[in-house]
Amino acid sequence: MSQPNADDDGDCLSTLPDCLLHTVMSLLPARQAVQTCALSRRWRDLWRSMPCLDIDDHELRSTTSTTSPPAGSTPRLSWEKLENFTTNLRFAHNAPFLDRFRLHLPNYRHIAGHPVALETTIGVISPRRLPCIRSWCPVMEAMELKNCVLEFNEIACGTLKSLVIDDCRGCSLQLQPKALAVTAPKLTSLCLRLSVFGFTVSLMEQMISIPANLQMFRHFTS
Amino acid sequence: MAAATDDAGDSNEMIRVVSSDGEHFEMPEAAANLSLVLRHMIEDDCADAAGIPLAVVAAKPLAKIVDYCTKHAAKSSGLTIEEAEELKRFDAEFIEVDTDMLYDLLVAADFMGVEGLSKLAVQRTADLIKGKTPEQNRETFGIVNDFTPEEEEEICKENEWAFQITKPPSRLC
Repeated sequence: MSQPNADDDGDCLSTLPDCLLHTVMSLLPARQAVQTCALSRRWRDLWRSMPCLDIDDHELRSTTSTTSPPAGSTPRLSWEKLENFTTNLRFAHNAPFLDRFRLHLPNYRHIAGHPVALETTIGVISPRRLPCIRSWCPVMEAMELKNCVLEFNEIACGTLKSLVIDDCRGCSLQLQPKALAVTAPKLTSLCLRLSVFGFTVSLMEQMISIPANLQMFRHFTS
Repeated sequence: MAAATDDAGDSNEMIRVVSSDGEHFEMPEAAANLSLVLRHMIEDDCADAAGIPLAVVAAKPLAKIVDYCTKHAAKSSGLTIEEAEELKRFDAEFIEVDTDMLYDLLVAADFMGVEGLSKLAVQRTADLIKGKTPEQNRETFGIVNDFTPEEEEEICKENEWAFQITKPPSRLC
């Protein structure tokens, strides 16, 4: 790929309106987006109001950003790093609305050992943390959980319209089949793909008026 | 687009546009329809022989945009896998531009409402930023570091969590 030369006449990119720069930043992983704060005054607080956040565990481990993680970094250390990053991000980010929030945890098995962290990170699905996440993301309409070990047993969100639970399972430490209660009065689309048996999903009564396109694959029984 | 290509009479018509620096360009109506602004102008019968003036788009980026729209309009419907791949290759080659042109395309595509091109330019910009340090990005885009040393220190301290926790703040930026 040919590398563009720096513009001698000045910095055109920084003169773009916030909304265009936000569109660009929305395509960056969260960590890289935050790092734009160090570019210049124009960029200093721009990331705080970007409407999309994409937190990728892989990015936090990768060497692409500024430096490599310490060699031999353990999963636990990685998890702590992720938790630390996400917590800081939540405190410092102050967009009036959020269009998209993506949390990608490829090595999800580590979640099982850190239930508190999970709640902190995606508190949206934990009733206890719900008020907290509501103030942060008060209008969430779509949620997609892929490849997760679910340490919680309730999803409650008043604004949620679409929910995808794909290849998730309950905590393996529990002997009893786990039930997941979904309370989402505005839900119109639910897609379940559960690959592990012994995991049940019950939909709270007030939510179900037969969602228009309810899809269920490979059910869960016990 | 579909409407334009369905209507045989209109699809052959050429639409003239005039850049901010007075250069004239022509493109098929189906191509012009890829721009929201041009489409509205055409619908409102503002497309005449004198050409539609585009006050904020200079000749250089406009030539590129005409190229882009013409190519995409010609391949707008019923693409075979090969054609879709060819269009992808065209896009990849098309957006291999320097940062000046990239900036011009970002602004022009946004102004003219050419969605596909907007996405392409935004993605290219993000790809250029990805995986680089702030210093490398300053270099790529000619961004001047206008922080005072005190400010720089403050920012590094404030956002240390997004850089490397173990790294000394003075080396972050």
